[in-house]
Amino acid sequence: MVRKHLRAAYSVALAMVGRPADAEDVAQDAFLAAFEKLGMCREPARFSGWLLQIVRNRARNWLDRRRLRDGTDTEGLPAPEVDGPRPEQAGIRERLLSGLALLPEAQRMVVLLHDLEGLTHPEIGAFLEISEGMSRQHLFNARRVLRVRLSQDAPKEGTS
Amino acid sequence: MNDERIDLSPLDPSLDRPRWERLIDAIARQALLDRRPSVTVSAQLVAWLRPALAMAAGVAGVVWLAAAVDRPPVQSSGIGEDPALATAQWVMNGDPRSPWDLLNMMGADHDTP
Repeated sequence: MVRKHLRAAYSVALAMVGRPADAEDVAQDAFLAAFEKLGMCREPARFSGWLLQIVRNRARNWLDRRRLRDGTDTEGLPAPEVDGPRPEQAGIRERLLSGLALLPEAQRMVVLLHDLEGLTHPEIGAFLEISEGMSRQHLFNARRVLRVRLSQDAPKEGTS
Repeated sequence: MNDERIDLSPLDPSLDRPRWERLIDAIARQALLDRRPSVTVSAQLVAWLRPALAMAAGVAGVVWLAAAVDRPPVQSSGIGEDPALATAQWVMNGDPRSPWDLLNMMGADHDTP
């Protein structure tokens, strides 16, 4: 069950907290909370959506704690930290994270769930409680910003 | 033009297989630990409450049964019975008794002159 749903939980957490390591912590925390309250999930077929709502709640709590801890009142995401295993992709990963940080939370959520997790617009709309059309709109805008960001930061060919 | 999927695979955490497996293991292990019953003093007392009550009820039943078996038979001589009832029975049965019987039934000592 963890293996099946963890990546979606991670995607939602990443969309909200911004840092991969923090997203892992939030996803783990949400999973443990979900297992603790498993009896409250009345429709096992909708476990995924129920879990992702828990992830959102946990991520919000996490953001509140971070604002209190840092003494800031900003909604923006922190600077991305790259802790990935593939050095050859570290640059791309960093650019993607910094591009995502420019997006509103809803757009981050939609683009991650659609382009990383592979959810459909009806699924995303149901989860975020928005229309399918709004989900498409968010995806369109998010992709546009990310493409511009990626093209701006892309290393020039021929340079070392 | 903007319909083309952006390659977000560099953000896919499962590509770092060892790290991903460690995360899955950590969640599963912690979930199992959390599901173990707590062994606090209050929880243990609550767990013992029902068997303790059942045992107490059993002991009480055995004691009551033993007392009932050992109880001496009730004498029908009138001694120990309700004086008013016994006197009324004497009268109704036309069974005259001596004053000594009456005093005896009322609980007077045999040595009383």
